[in-house]
Amino acid sequence: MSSVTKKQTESDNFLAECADETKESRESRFFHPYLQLFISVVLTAVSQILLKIGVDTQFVSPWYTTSNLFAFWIWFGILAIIGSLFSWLFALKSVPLIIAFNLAATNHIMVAIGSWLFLGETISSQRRIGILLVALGVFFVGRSAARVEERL
Amino acid sequence: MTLFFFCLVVFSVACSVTGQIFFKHAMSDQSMSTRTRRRLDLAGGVLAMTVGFFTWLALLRRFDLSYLYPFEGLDRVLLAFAAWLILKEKMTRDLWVVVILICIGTAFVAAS
Repeated sequence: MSSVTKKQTESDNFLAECADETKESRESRFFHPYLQLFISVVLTAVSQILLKIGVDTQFVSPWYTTSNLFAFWIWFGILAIIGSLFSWLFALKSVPLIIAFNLAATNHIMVAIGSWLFLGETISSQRRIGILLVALGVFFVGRSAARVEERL
Repeated sequence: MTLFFFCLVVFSVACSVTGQIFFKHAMSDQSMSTRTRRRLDLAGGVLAMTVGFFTWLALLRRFDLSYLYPFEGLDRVLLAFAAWLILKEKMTRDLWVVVILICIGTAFVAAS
């Protein structure tokens, strides 16, 4: 009888260890620097969309009006900015600044797609070309910008 | 976009760049600054970021996001000019090319 109980305990321990390992592996996957960088870029785009929804639907002039304190879309936008900042700082622990700067160029594309999808904005072909040129410029300026950012 | 709004956009982007530089100075481990200086840097960063944020909100109210956001790309141009002015870094040919690329892109968006 005691042998059965012992086996049961061993099996329970083994299962608990497996569960811990799976959890750790899931956590390590979540904290992967490139995933965090991606999350940061997405959150930046999300924050801009939330801020735009907030100013269009809830924000009143002048800016110091009390009701603006309850503009929750803007607060969500601010939270997204803070989240993106934390992910960015976390990612920069392992990802070189130059790569992070290059990947951040995709922000411009994501914001454009988000504005079209969620805000129903019409993006003319001229604007599309402009956005693409800016994104390309921001991508290629990464090396110099990273060097300057480190020195300034 | 009128000249006034363009100046406001550049002002907002410049505030954000200034805020980042202040924060970096305040948080840097290698910095030899005193505690008071760090606090001043932090306060300067918060102030610059806040002013930039509210200016950006005011601009967002007036313009489409897809129209306004590409102007954020100008922060790299401002950073390059700041490096040229403050750090006396050389503006290389490659850097000029990307700065011009961003400016042309922004002009395309502004005209759309």
